[in-house]
Amino acid sequence: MDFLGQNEILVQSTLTNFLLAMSLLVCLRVGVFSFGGLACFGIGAYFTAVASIHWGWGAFSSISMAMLISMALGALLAPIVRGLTGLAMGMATIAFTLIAGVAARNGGELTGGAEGLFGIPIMVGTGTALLIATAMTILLALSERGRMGRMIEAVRVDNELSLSTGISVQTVRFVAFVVSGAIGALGGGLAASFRSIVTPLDLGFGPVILALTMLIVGGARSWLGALIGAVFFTWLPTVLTSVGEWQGVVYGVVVAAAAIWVPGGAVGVATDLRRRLAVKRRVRNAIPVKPKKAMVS
Amino acid sequence: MSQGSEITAVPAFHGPGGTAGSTPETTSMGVLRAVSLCIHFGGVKAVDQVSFQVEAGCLFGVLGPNGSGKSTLLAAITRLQRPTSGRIYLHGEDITKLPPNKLARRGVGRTFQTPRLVPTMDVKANVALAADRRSRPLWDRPTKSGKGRVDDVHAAMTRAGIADAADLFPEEISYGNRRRVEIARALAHDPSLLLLDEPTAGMNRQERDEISELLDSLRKQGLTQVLVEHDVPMMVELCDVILAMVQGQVVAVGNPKEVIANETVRKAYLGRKRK
Repeated sequence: MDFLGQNEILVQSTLTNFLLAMSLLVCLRVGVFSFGGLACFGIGAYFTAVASIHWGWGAFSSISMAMLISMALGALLAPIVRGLTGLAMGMATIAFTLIAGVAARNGGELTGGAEGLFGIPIMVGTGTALLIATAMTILLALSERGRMGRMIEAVRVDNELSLSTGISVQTVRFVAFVVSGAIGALGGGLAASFRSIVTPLDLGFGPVILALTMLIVGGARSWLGALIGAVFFTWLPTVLTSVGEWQGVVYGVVVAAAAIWVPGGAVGVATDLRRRLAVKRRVRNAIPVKPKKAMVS
Repeated sequence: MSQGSEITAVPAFHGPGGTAGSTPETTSMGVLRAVSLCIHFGGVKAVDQVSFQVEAGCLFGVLGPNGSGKSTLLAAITRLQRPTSGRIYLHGEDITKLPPNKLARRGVGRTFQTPRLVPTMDVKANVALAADRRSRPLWDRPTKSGKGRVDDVHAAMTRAGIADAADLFPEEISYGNRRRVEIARALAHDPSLLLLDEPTAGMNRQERDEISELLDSLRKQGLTQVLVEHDVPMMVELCDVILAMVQGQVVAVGNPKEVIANETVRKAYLGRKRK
């Protein structure tokens, strides 16, 4: 409890960063390189700020509405970018984020212009946020298992294969955009409430780089990767206080090393290791796999 | 008139149990029917005015040299490639514009030219991918417990002779066994039509024989199959009907031995005239 009290801001940042990373992860898991979740993070933060400051809404109503708006935006964005893949998809969705940033900067009194909005009431406690993040994690973890997990993995790996097994790739992607929007808005709403401030920088390149680095280091295939990345990059600056201004260099080296040598992130390494050990065990036990004759009924 | 419709002269061959593959003039609907199918890429006519019909229980072979349009034809049947013109019918229903995933749900299983498996999933999960989607809409679905699905997957793996490798990953099994996993996955659909794109490509003689045996056993079980292959002796031995393609056009269709003996086929495929 003492630890939580002393590090409450860091814990809160970890939770919101985790949700930010998860919003990207949802799309990456189905092979879509989309930054739509980031735009929704900013939209969630701004909507919560505007609703609570200008209209006097509470936490539940403002964050829920922000999530609904973001889900609707995700649903609109998905068909627009459906034909795009890889970098083109990344560029199109990052443009969406930057457009939202420009709108926030030019929103006048409503959005606070270039300075943003200050004095957002603290409406959500750390415990509640922890519960919300845990619930989201459980849902995401469940989606990685069984039938849905197989479907998501197949869509990520091979679209034509997925189609030939009856999976509607477009529907899976559409749902990913919508869910990504909801999680992003949830993270943004909580972040605005925790920090009491929201600025156009929340819709800039900073969060884009942060979210990407979290997934590069943690891994982009599982919720665990998002969690590892969020913990790592939220707590890294406190660990690196001793290196002073070299912090940026250490940060850069970690990200570059992860991208070059550990492309699957920490979770990818653990998964590969576990599989290799299983293979070694099987080889040691020497189970020959000889095809049997086809069964004729 | 196209070259394809001019050259086709071999009569329909009736396979075992009254099954047959035939030209589309046949009155019955058949399992699969293509009518004047064209797939053009700009000026390149990958498939040009191709028509054929596959009857129930028939093992229908599509033969042709590289670049003759066999795989493109298969891609069009599975709707992964949009035809430029023409119609495709499955059990009499026009499927020309049906999305590929819906076609798979209607019982069309397929394998690819190179085995396409999800490398991060073990064999049984790869096969389960198809069994998962076998279901009808929620309101029209017979109760299917998780155990029932496991049984379906196991049955498909057993039919393809790969049940022993259920827990292995694709990288751990031989190329031939990966082919079997693909076939098992296609069978997990409980298909009424199985499309096989060069299932023995890159295999040694023993593996080829094993796959031939497997396809023959599936035929004996009454499964309708369309087999795209290069292996002429295998095609002649296995298929009830062969359709020969050259440069996107049908040059012959009918009894395998007669098709192989066809002068145009020999010239185009084997590079020499019949003596």
